[in-house]
Amino acid sequence: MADDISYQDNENIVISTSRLTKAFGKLVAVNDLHLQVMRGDVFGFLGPNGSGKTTTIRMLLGLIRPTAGRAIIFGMDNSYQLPAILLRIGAIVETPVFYPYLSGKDNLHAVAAASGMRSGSASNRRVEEVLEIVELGKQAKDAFRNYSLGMKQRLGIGAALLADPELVLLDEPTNGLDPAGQYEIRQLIQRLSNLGKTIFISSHFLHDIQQVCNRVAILQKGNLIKQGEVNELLQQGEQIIVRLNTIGDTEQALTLLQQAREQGLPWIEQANMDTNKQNIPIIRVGAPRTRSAEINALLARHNLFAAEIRPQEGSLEDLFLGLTAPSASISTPRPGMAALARDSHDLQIEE
Amino acid sequence: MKASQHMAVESSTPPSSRASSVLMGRQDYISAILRLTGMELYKIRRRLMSKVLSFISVLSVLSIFGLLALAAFLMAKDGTPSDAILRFSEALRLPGSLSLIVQLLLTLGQILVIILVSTIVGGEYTDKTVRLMLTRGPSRTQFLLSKIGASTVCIMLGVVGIVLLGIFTGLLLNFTTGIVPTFDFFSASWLGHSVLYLLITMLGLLTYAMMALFLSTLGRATAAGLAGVLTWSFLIEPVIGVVGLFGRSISGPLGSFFQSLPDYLIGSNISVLLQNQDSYIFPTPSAQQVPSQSSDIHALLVLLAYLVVFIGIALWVNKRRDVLI
Repeated sequence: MADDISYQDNENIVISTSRLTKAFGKLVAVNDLHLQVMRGDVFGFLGPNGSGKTTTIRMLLGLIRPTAGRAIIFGMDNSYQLPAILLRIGAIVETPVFYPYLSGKDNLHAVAAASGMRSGSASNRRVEEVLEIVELGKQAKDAFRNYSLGMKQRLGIGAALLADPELVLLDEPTNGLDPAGQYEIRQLIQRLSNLGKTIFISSHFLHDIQQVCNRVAILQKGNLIKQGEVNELLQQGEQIIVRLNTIGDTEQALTLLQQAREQGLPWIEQANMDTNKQNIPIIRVGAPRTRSAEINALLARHNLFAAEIRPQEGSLEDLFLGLTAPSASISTPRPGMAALARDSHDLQIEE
Repeated sequence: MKASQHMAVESSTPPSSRASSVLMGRQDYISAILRLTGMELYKIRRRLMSKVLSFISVLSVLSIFGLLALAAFLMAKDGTPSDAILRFSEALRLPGSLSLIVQLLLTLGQILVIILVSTIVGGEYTDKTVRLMLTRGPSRTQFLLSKIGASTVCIMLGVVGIVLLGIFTGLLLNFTTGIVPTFDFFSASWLGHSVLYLLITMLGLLTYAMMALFLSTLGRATAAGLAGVLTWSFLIEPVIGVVGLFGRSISGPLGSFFQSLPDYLIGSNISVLLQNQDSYIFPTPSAQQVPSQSSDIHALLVLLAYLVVFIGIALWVNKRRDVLI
């Protein structure tokens, strides 16, 4: 209980879950989840299909009751004060659903009434504004049933933004959108973030998440396996690619780097042999990008001259695959990912 | 748990201001229900289904009175004795037309109301829009109460509209019989009992509507409410009525039990309430217009019990269960 009190005392915590669990019979969809989303965060919520992302979002929105644990949103327990919480949230859960026989505009009016806004013409201006934001002004009077998937998605985002909420929960918001649409949504999220909104976004599009989110959490089989700042996570996944001219030199360099790691260069996480796209042998060194020059100097001192030394950024995709692949804990061919998998709980926010 | 709830209230973060174009309405419990009810009525108005149902209602009224007028006209043309024409004329003008319209409302009107209510409740599950509405702020109870409110408004408007249409159509077509309508029956007392007669009709429709709401909520589908109530009102209630008659031929407690079953059906209790008003509204009571042996209080309590059970269980189920669609 003391944990709960500390969550609530911090005004900057928008969402905090404590031991949140949902079981459907014997299937545990979400297990003992501790999440913290801070005010102003663009929080990415990642996980393979069936990992419990949507179940978590449904629990946060009160659509399903947790089997155990609790969710505190804006300092209020969503088991008791859900209506007050929901008035401050805009959300899309899975594919946006609306009344098929109503136009996009009429659907937004219906949402406005349900969101506690003044009904009828009083909310006209805001509805028009939102339709322009999501670029559905021209199709505003068309029946929702005639909308394309992309248009439905945009209307869903419009509905989520309608009451100008403090917290926006978006479950797969770029589903069904073409690359231009996905780009627009990323821009929109950035704009909302700049306005101080807190955004909680679940997506399979890791590239999108990496570009827009400052913090992420990764779920697998209902368990939280990673949570932290995107920058920190990506730093851990950084690598330096080293290519030498001959296979002999490459093998020698690999031995040298491995020895250096064992003999006192702790910033070298791992060094492994691999091949590039042209099937030429390379060495992947798990080390911060800023250490490229030191690696070059080390090799040169032993008369090994690199033909190419290229720092490579870590990516969420690598991190995600490294953590969620079935064999991630057994075989980790990517040094950066191996390091991440090893200390995967280091960045979890403790209670 | 209460202590932690109290703490959560105390430490909730204050809401930030919204954009100037976002005009929030009153947030008290009743205002939220009224706003949602208005939204439900707006949705009903925009549905093709409600237009079709309205068209069927109007067409039915016009057809029935049209057929009566046509029959009276043909009889007058054939030189049929005036007694037969008089009976048709009585059905076309007040107060006889009121009985005809109410019978229409309690048969065809009942089916249309069941379709409407099953659709507005079950449709939320079929279209998955329950997910949309329940993540916007209203509580689940408010959400369902707004459906009840919208259903009640539709029933009231429908009954008043159809009754007025029927009365005026009947009066207009009565001229084909050549019998001049009189309003000798009209008095304040007659008007009061007629209003009561219509309120009973509305109560009857509302009871079946709430059964549709309950079954649609329980089955999470339009079909559940529709099939359930139609089966109940047009199959199970008549069967129980027959069982009641069968009970008369059996002596002992079992026979008494069977005989008493029809006294607890929705349809028979609405009939009791209507029958008890007949003698005040219709100046020459027929055999069926003799007051019922059952009391109004009994009938009202039975109908009230049905309403409490249907609405209560629907609210409880709606509040308790997970929305997984």
